[in-house]
Amino acid sequence: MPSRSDIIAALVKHVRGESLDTGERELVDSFLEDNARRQMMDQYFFNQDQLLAELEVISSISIEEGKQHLQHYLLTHKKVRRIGYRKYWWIAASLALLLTMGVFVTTLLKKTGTTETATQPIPADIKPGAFKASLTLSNGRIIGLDSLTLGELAKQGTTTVMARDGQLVYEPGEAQKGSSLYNTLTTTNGETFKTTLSDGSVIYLNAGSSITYPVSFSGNERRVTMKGEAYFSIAKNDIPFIVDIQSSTSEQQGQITVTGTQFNVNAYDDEPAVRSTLVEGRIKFAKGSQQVSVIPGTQVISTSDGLTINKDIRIEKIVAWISNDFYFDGDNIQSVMRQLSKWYNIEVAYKGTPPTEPFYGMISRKRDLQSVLQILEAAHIQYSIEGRKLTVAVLK
Amino acid sequence: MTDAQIIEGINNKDQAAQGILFEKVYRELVYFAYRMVDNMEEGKDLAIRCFSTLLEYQREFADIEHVKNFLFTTTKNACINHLRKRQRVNSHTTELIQRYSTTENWEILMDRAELLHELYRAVEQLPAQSRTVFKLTQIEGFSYHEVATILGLSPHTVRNHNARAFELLRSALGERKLHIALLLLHLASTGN
Repeated sequence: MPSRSDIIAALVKHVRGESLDTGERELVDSFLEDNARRQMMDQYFFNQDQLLAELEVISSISIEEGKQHLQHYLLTHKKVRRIGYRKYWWIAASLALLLTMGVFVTTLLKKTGTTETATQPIPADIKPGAFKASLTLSNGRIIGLDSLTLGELAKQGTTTVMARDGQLVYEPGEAQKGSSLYNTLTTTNGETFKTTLSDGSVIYLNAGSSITYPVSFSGNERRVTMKGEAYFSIAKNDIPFIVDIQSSTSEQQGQITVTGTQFNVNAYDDEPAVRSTLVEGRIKFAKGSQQVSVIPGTQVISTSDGLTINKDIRIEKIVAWISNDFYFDGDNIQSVMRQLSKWYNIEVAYKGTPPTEPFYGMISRKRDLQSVLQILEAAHIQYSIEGRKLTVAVLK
Repeated sequence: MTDAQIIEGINNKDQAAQGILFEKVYRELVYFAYRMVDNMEEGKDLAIRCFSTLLEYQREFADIEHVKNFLFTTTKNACINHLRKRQRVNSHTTELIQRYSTTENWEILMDRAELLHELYRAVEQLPAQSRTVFKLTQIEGFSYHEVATILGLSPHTVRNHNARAFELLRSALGERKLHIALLLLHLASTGN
């Protein structure tokens, strides 16, 4: 009995115009005996234009996006299951191998409880970050936002500012000439929010960040200013969208120009460099007199020495925060702590020389601090907490 | 992983195997669902939902075809149910339901999805660097020197990547379909 994959393989050769052996010829012929199937082949595989159209459709389906989609689905349709177990399977096989070497994941998955260090009880008030932010309107009035905010918040010119489903939405009114009104969305440590601008562009704001933007777009550019970390999904438009990246003291760190695209910008002051990662589309990054255009899967690293291009990146790691996950892929402890301190709103100090070993693994940002600190325990790193200050020391 | 290893892994609820299976079937499944319900977003939702039922499935699978059958059948049923719900809104939907309720027709759609996916994969297998070079030289029209600068390679390496890409595409899609490859690369490198 010929297997299905043998039939498909023979058909592939047939479509390519390669010569078939007797067995393959038979498989193809008996497939084509069926009129409906022969018609399907003529219509979709032997018509150049149609084949192209179909291949375009299939190539537009992103596996990465599918994985994230599946993860979301599993999280929101959770039945009773061991916490954290299901989440890891879709990580690429090579990383899965790394993860099994990483102490942290072994501890979480097997829950053997072989930690030797005494676990410090974490004060009850260190909760993970939440969907919260402050919105500063053009007249200076500040509105506090959280996941329960609903309905119309304000009118800015002819644009209506609304909140729903835990995000801010700008609904444009009739086109208005004249100077633009600006709003600023700000998150402190422990907060994150999402906003849809009046052109349909979506911006995710991480903790300790801010973004200033016009409430409606007019003229020949769409320009916003950001600090901290944000992920942009920019609506396609002939009018270029420009992101001015600033440090917390409003020093210009670079500028990104796009027309319709998806990218992440990490410009925290305490990170060694500004990293802008392109997920889809095209971006042009400019700083001072330097300028570079990149293609998806590329990261532009900007430091005081100039710009460099980095292709050795894992997109899932960079955008994990949008799915509300931490993704550590060889991060040293300082890098891990910088992320934790912003999300849990804690201060971190080191006693003695900080350990150098790399951390691997993924953990939901919704977990409380105690679960996440199991990473440290598993790596024999002792820590203590006083109020909101975490002190890390290496246990020899 | 071989197909046999994947099946063993799936039956043991092994996460690595589940991940590999997902990468193997996701696009086919989405394409199939998309063509059934005529909406890409809904198609993706349905495919994801059906893949997740596989993760919960209690019985054992004999081989890869058994798994694929399960996935496609589950997806087909979910699509028909989805269309039935939508039917009250839209008469075009009635047409779709009639078309795909016939076993013959949805089985042919399955053939189409699998074949398309196989052809696509052959092109996708082009190594990332070669793909990028090919795209920059053939579609964007950069010279070898310009590409060398953009990618930080020597012009000689750029030329080699280009040649390799041509060879691979010729064998993947056949001589007469080379122009399709050009556009595919354009799409493949701006996507995942």
